[in-house]
Amino acid sequence: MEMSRRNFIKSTLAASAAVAAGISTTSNAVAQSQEVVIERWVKGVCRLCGTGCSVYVGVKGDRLVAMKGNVESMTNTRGYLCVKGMNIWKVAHHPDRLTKPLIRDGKGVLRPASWDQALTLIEKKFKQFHKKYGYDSVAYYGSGQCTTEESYTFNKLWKGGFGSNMVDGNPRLCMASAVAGYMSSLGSDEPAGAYADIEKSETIFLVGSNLSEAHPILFRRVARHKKDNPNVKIIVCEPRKTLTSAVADLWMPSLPGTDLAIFNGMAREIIKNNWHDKEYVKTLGRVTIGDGSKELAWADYVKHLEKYTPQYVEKKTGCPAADVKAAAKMFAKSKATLSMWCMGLNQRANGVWANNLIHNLHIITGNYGKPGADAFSLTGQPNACGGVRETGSLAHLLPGAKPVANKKWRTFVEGYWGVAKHSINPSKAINPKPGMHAVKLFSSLGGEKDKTKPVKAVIMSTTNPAQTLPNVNKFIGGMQDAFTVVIDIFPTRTAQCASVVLPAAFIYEKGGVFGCSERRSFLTDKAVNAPGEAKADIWIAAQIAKRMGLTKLIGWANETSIDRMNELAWNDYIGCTANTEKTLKGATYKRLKKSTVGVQWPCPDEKNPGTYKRYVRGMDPIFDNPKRYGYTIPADAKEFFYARPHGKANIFLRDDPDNSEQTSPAYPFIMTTGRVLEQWHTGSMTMRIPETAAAHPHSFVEINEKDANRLKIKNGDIVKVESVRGYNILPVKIVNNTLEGVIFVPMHDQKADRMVNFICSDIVDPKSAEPDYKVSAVKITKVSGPKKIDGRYLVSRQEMNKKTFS
Amino acid sequence: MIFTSAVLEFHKDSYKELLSFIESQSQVEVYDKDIDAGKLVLVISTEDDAELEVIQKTFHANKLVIDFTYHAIHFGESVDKLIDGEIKIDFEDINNKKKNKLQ
Ligand code: SF4
Repeated sequence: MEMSRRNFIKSTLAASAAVAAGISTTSNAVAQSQEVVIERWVKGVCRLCGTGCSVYVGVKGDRLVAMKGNVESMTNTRGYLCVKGMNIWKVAHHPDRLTKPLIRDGKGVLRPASWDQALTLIEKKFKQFHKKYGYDSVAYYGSGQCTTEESYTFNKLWKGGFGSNMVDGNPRLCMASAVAGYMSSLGSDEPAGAYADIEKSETIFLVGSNLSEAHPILFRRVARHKKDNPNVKIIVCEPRKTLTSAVADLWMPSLPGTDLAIFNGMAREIIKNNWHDKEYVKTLGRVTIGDGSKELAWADYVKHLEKYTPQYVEKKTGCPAADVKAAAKMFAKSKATLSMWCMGLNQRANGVWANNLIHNLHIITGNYGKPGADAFSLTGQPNACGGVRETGSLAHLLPGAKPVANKKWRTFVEGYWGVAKHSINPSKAINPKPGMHAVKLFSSLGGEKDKTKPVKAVIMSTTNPAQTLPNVNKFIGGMQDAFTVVIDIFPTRTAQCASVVLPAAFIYEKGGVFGCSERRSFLTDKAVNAPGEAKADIWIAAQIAKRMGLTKLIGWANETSIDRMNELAWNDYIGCTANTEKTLKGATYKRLKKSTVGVQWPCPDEKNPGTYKRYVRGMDPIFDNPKRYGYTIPADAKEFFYARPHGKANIFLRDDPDNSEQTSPAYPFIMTTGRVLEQWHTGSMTMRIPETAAAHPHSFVEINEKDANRLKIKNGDIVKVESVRGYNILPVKIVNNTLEGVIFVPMHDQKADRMVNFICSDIVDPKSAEPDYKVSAVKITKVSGPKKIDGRYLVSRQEMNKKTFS
Repeated sequence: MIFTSAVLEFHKDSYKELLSFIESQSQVEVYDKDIDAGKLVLVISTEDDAELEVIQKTFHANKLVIDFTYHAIHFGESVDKLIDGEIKIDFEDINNKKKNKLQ
């Protein structure tokens, strides 16, 4: 009996894979004729990276029992999945799940409480601080892992209800430079194209992205494209030679923080060889500098690039001059070039400029607006684009990703939300002044006794700033002293600092929309119930709204069904942004419920299929009625960017300043940080999956073999990696895949003396306020020979009661 | 047990060689095939994901294989055991696990 049940399972899985492979199956008949091993398949999105793989979760009773890829998917084509995504079930059913609200008592111990007790305390504190310190004394810090409905609800509550823009989120730490790059170069945030450009490209330029480990399914698409089309060229530009380089025709090494010189050097080489697209530049390019207001001549740009000879670039970056020339040729001579980048470009002191320079390369070679050509920023989280960028849940934005300082748009949103009628702030208006970005917010957070800290309370959802902020030591005291509320599914370092911990529902326990890197919004349906008393964030936001007297503002606050709350919030959101280029007006909740592929904005009406390519007549529906969206597009314009009023893409004169932390005799190494294949972010989920944890149980430091020889360090030795801010004690991995003088430390470990953000620089990009995680000056000293490491460290429930981090 | 289905693409002229390689692995079964298209549907039965990953690496390293990709996974037995307290998600399981055949 047992064996036959297993056979049914296997036949079911095989039948599904056969459909994915496009081959006729004999398994289907067996699967269909047998015992029900999976009661229903519920559609959804993978909970982990920003690729947005589309899945079905298999449910039996109230348990998740299976997961399969969606064969119709446009993201994970043919429904293929990576091992990270397939392991996620262990998180949902993990015994460490938080299942009851907790309130910290006078002795510092988190004690179980009822929801009413927890919410009453939050209400009391928020009201008290609003009255005593003003509305900006209470902040919301969200996440690219909340659903769009949740982020929109909290954003509306704060900006419309409290009249406070003290709303920021963890995408500030990973995507803000890409946002500012798109806005300044093209006039509108997010990519012009889609993943479908991968298979249409002739050259792929991967820069600041270890795609193979951070976005495995996209890497698979790239590798497969190369395998099927050996003439396709792949260039990888990053400090470490990672697995991604295995498929590359050219690996361009560069010292962390210096690649701006490479991009300018490539542009110089392209123009010098007459490989640029003169017609495209004339019609759609505009040379500029600074904030983009002043137009310059093409000759100014050419002159600006003079300095970036291949020899200069080599000296500055460590990238061989010949590689700069070769890369420029591959980039410019292909019929369609696609660039993809991630945190390596964004998490930088000059991240916005680095983004601008990638756009420059695309503008001068005419690599937008045609199949296979695009400048594509990848996201690390599943809903950083949809949930935070598009809903404007950052301190300086409103829904539609328009600045809060934009009076016209602010007035519209005030009217749409009924702020004058509903706000509890006597101003009865949205504050025109942006709130604080993440690093500033947490620098300003502190207890009532600390007069220097204006922010007294923060509610944090699905994020872990006590581990992820750079130079984190600076912020922990403030988090402990202030009134801090954490919404999460597991104990974390941030929960360890919290006054109140609220247990959250997992995505498959509540449902909601995630919008991935390619502008695609996809609805996950609720599959099972949340354990214990865990609740959806949207329910928590609704309870706070009710208690703060904002039931009418949050029209779904009195609903009891989470699905209905989600529907009302989503429809409110798409109504609010209907007249922006990010319109999802046609992606009604009903449509998303039915859709198995999701919808890419702009999508102005229900008949519109969604948009694969923006800025192109015949593809981008904004061209059909530009006035509605505030644009004037000439009738004969085939391509048009949204930078107003000219509709051209900005070619920026950007230099290569050394504004990251510099090495010195005392701190001679550059440390860069990043992800490894098996883990994700702070490991609160992936470190709980035993196999994943076993594959990468603890952090380490990669050191170039020549540096190791000089320091007389051997593989496995324990070293102290130290900056002026803090240190880690780490085992050594000697490698030959980095440049000399560069070391790498992964970012996932929760153990106090292996939390890399104690070391990281907290310099931020002056425009985007995104931290410079990729460049910190450090020194290395040997502590001992090889030693057993206390690996797979997780913050436990008990540790949440300790003031210090172990 | 965890059951996983995967699609394997192979060089058509090496089917026989590949098949004998697959047959040497007790955890792997061929469920469907299209030899002309060079595609197989495999189902892999493993104790856990670690064992599965070893198999994945073996296929990726095999020169006859063009592509090997997961499509679906059934972990219901493990969830039942987990909820019923028969297995714990803890690290002792990993530490005590005996090496599987492919290692
Ligand atoms: S690539 Fe990312 S979204 Fe896709 S299955 Fe893997 S972790 Fe999930």
